[in-house]
Amino acid sequence: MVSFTRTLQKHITKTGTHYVLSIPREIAQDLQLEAGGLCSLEVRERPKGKAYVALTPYQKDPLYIRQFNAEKLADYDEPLMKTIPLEEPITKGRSQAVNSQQFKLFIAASKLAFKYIKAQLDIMRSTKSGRAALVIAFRKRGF
Amino acid sequence: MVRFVRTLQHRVTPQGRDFYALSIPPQVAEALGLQDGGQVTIEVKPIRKGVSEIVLKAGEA
Repeated sequence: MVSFTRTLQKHITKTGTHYVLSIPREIAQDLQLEAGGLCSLEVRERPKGKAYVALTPYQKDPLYIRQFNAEKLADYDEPLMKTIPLEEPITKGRSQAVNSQQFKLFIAASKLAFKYIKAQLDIMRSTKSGRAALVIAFRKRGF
Repeated sequence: MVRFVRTLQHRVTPQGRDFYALSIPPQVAEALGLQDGGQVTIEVKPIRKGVSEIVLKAGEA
């Protein structure tokens, strides 16, 4: 087992507190990140002991976001929200766990969907033909 | 398990040496009990043949 010791540096700036750790070249080579790049930090708890952190190369597949399916709104067979892969993870700004980022993006997409549907309903309710179309649409949806 | 994604920064010093730095989220520093900074042990642990895991632990004071 190879072991290195480095100092975790604490920096206090106008935007808040952040920490920087110097990484040995051998570790970067082990991660296959000689030129730098994305990596994941996983906090793992031990049943009776201190937590430890696993440093792994970044893997793209588990990241996804739910997005409002605006272009397929007229199609009743399509879901209102669609799942799309997140190309690049958010590594800047306030520190958030990956799950928390995904949840916040989902809330933002849901708010957008709600705003869009409300605006569409307001437009449709303003005319007689629109109201009739709404009734048909609701019946088709099973309401 | 909580997961964060960060960029491993690579710089070359004026002396021509490679330098790598990783931004650590405050939640991770807290989990290690290093809110004020301190020594971190970086270990390369072999899991099975040809596969290893990199583990960060709070160093001995």
